[in-house]
Formats: sequence, structure tokens, C-alpha cells
Amino acid sequence: MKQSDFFERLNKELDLATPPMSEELKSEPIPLATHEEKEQAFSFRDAKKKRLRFWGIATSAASLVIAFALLLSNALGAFTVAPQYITMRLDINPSLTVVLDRNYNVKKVVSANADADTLLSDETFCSSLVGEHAENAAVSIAERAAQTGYFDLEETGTAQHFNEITVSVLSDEAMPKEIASGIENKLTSFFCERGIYVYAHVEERKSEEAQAEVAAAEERDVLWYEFVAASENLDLTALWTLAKRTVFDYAEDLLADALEKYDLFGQIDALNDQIAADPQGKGKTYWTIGGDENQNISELCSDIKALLERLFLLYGTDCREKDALSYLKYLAASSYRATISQESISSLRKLNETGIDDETFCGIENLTLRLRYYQLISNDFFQEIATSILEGVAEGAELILRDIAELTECRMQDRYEKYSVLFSLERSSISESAYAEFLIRIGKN
Amino acid sequence: MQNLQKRKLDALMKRVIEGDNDAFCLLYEATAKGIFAFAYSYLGKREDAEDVTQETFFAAKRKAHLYRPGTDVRAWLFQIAKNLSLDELRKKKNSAAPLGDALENTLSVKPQLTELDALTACLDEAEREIVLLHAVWQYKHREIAELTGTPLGTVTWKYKKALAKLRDYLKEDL
Repeated sequence: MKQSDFFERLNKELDLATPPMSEELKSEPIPLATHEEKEQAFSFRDAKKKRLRFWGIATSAASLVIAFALLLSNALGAFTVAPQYITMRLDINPSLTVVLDRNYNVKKVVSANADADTLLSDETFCSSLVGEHAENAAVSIAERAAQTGYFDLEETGTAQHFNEITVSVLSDEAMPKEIASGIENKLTSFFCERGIYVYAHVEERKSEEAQAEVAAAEERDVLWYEFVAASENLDLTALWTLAKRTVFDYAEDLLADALEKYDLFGQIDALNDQIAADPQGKGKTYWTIGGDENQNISELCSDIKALLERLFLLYGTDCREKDALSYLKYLAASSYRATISQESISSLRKLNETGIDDETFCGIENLTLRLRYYQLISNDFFQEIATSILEGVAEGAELILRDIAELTECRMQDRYEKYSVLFSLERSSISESAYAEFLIRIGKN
Repeated sequence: MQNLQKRKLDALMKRVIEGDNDAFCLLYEATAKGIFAFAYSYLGKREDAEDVTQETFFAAKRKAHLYRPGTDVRAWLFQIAKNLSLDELRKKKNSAAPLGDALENTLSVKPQLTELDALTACLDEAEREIVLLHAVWQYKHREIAELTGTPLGTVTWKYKKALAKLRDYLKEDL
């Protein structure tokens, strides 16, 4: 029995068991609230009204001041109009649109693709951006993208591969130059301080479309999948396609992660084999070798130690101590490798390279590959939702949306847990000259 | 969708505050199942859960004016139901069941609630709450985290753990 079957049965059982409304309850009058109670219940509205009144007065006063200033500046021949409608689009791979007010503070953030949903499905993070200045918001979003694995932290940049952030600011009137340069400088210095090579560039453009962009972003749901679901008017086919894409994105993450873990164990095993083959090692391992090591064993142990540190950081498997207990823990954690054939791993590596989609993952022709995939990633939770979506079992828009929401949340959580640790590791900061060389390497000098 | 549901229920509740009994009936239809499931998971007895369900809605009618429009009606009802269930449990703990009640229980003709009993039998209170909020009330994990004041990671982890426990309990491939 599947989880969804159990939930369906549970809901059916509850539908039958839930008591109908009793006649007494139906006829029980609803006491109308007294004036004081109404005041209390709606007090937050009043507070809002009061705030609005206050802001109304404040706005009127400010308008007078501004009108006076404008008249004065006009009289002085220095009349300029500040932009009213501003959007800032960040493209990393997660793409987001940020609506800014006329002071360049964030009013709202919406995601423009599924990857951005993994950032913004954390509501606390999403709401923390509101009110922030564009510069700080751009840095916070880029930082979160780095903590969620959207930058290669080890990449030092070549003409073909480099970390990049493109920020496009659109406004209905020309903006002061320092806004764009401020965002660019802040992003660059943020990553340089953390020792991560990232090319950040900001484009600004005055356009009549800015007002429409602001209106569209302000009206729509924050998350991309909710927006698509609404814009397609809950068309089930479109929703199902979106759900499948969500499955594939998460499936690719899980596969890359599982292969990385598999290889990490493989590298440790290979190094241990070299220790065992050394005349002084005599069948021993990193955990069982004594203190008097020759240089070869000492270097091998040092390499294993670094890999075990990574194993601990990424997967929480702590086998770093040089004792029998750690050895046993390591054997238990890596034993699954023996159950997976080389043929299976080769086909999954190929899948990892080509990417997961309908053609490479679905249909009867890929059944063996799917089975191998689920065996390697060993994630029942994902397998169930993925199977339910890919086989079209999830019926109804609400259920599909729920599945998408779950997958998005879990993906965000998985990525954040893994990559935020790597992001927080100490790195030497990048000097101005090193950054200039990086720009030359990537052809942006 | 969740927001849509939240907004719809909030709109109904605003009508209830103004004295609209039809809106109250619609609110009952939309939420009674979840309330009943909760009460049952606490009390473990169908009749008691039915009573608490009715009592919850009596209380909702009487206290309608205390509801703050714009908030989550489901969370508000859920809190009332939880308080009433805990009161009922305390009452039961303080007074031993009379012989008549025991006999009545034995003779109860209402069929058992197999799936709900499975949840009650194998999950602890927090796990049950998360599974019911998710499966019956259609809350997302993020919303459960907000509602219960628990970190999102803990909710997801407990949910997965609860499913594993259910799988073991049912001894099937859940």
C-alpha cells in the first residue's frame, strides 16, 4: 500500500465518520458582537487605518515639501524626475524579480523560475528581504543562492566556466548612476571577501514597461509554481508538466549527490587499499594502523582524513577518529556500495551527464534505469511522490500542487543543509589584483 | 491553493461574525472533518470525538466575535478543538468511568476507524498532529512549522519518521 492510498483511505473514513451538524448547533444563535468586542476584534484593522491616517497626513506634508522643492529646483533649472516604478531582476540560475520603491527599498520579491522557488519557499528568508535596500537585498539573495549550491565555490574561472550574477534594473525614469554601481560593487566585494570568484554585473535601463512589470509582480504569487498554476487557470496538463519538471530538477540534485557520496567512499577505499598494500601497512587501514607510519602511509592517511572530513560535513557520517568504532561506522555506512553493480553506476553516471527528463527517465524503456536510480538514492519520500507524479497517479490540481510544494520545500532544505556548510568554510579572500586576473581569465577585463 | 482555501474560510468566518448562519454551515462542512480527526486522535473514542467536534463549533459560534479577520480560521478552530480535547482528557483522568459507561462502550455499535486507530496506535502526539495537518487539513510542511512553532526541518523529519512508523505498524509497503 502506498502512502497516498493510506491518506485516501483515511480521508474516506473520516468523510463517513465525521458527524453531521446537530440540530442544536444549527439552531444555536450567533451572538452579535458588542461595539467594544467589535472594536477589539477589528482593532488591528483600526490600527492599520490609524497608520494609514498617519501616513496620509505624513504623505500630504511630504507632498507639500516635495512640491515646494520641485518648484524651487524647476525655478533653478535643475528639474529631474525620480523613477517611481523600479524592478531589479537577478539571474544566477535562480532568477528572481524584486520590486523596489522609489527609495530603492524592496517591496516584494517573486521567483521567475523553479530554482528560485527553492530560495523563496523559505518564507522567513523571503520576508526578511522586504524593506532592505536594493544593494543589501541583492547580496542576501546571492548569498542564499551560494548557500543553496548555485555557485561553484571552487571555480576560479575560465573563458568557458565562471560564476556569474546578472542584475538588470528597469525603471520608468533614469536612475542615479550610483545605484547600479553600488549593487555591483557590493556583490563583488561580498564574494571577494569570502574567497569565491563571481563576476557580477549590473545593467540599468529606462523603459516604459517598468510600470507594467511592477504591476505584474505585485499582483502575482511569490512562488513560480503558484504563479504558473494560477496563470494556466489550473489546467491539469500544464500543472502536470510543471510537476514533472519539479521532479526532474530534484531528481538531478539527488543523483549528483548520491554519486558524489558513492565516489567519496570509493576514494577512501582506494586510499585504504594503498595503505594495505604498503609493506608497513600489512592489510591495515587508516583506522587500524599504528602511530609509526612511513611517509607514504602518512600522506595516504592525510588524504583520507581530508575525505573523511568532507564525508562528515556533507553527510553527517562521522568516521574521523582513528579507532575501531569509527572503522565499524565507516563499514556500515559504505556497505551499500557492494549491493550496486558497476553497470548500474555507469548507467547512472551517464544519466547524470545527460540530465533527467521525460526521454531519459520515463517510460517502460527506462524502467531498469529508474530502479537503479531509486536504489542508489535510497529516498522513499522522493520515490513515492515522484512515482505518483510521473505515473499520473496524483489526481486533481490541489494534490499536484501539494506534491510540487513538498518537493520544492524538501529540495530547498536538502540543498541548504548541504551547501551552507561548504559555503561557511574558511577561504582566503580575493585581492584586487587576483580579481583583475580573474576578469582577464574570463574575458571580461 | 492553501492561500485560496485560507482566504475562502476567512471570508466565511467574517460572514459568521456578522450573524450569517448559512456561512456557519459552510464553515462546518469545510472544517468538521479535520476537527473530528484531531479530537479522535486525542481521545481515541468515536463518541467523545463527535461530542468535541460539536462543542468546538458551539464554541466557535459563541466566540465568533473574538476571531481576528485576516488570520487562519483553521488554526483558530484547531486550537479550540485541541483545548476542548485536552479538557475532556483531564476530566476522564480525574473521574473513573462508571460501570454504565463501560457497558455502553462495550455495546457501542459504531464501526471502528481503522486508519485513524492506526495513527493513534503507532504515532506520538506530535507526529499524529503533523500527519493529520498534512493529510487531512492539507497544510504544507512550512505552514505546519509556523502553526506549531516547530522548525521546518523538524516537521519534515518527524513526518518522514511517522511514515516509517506507520509502514512498520501496518507491515505493508506504505
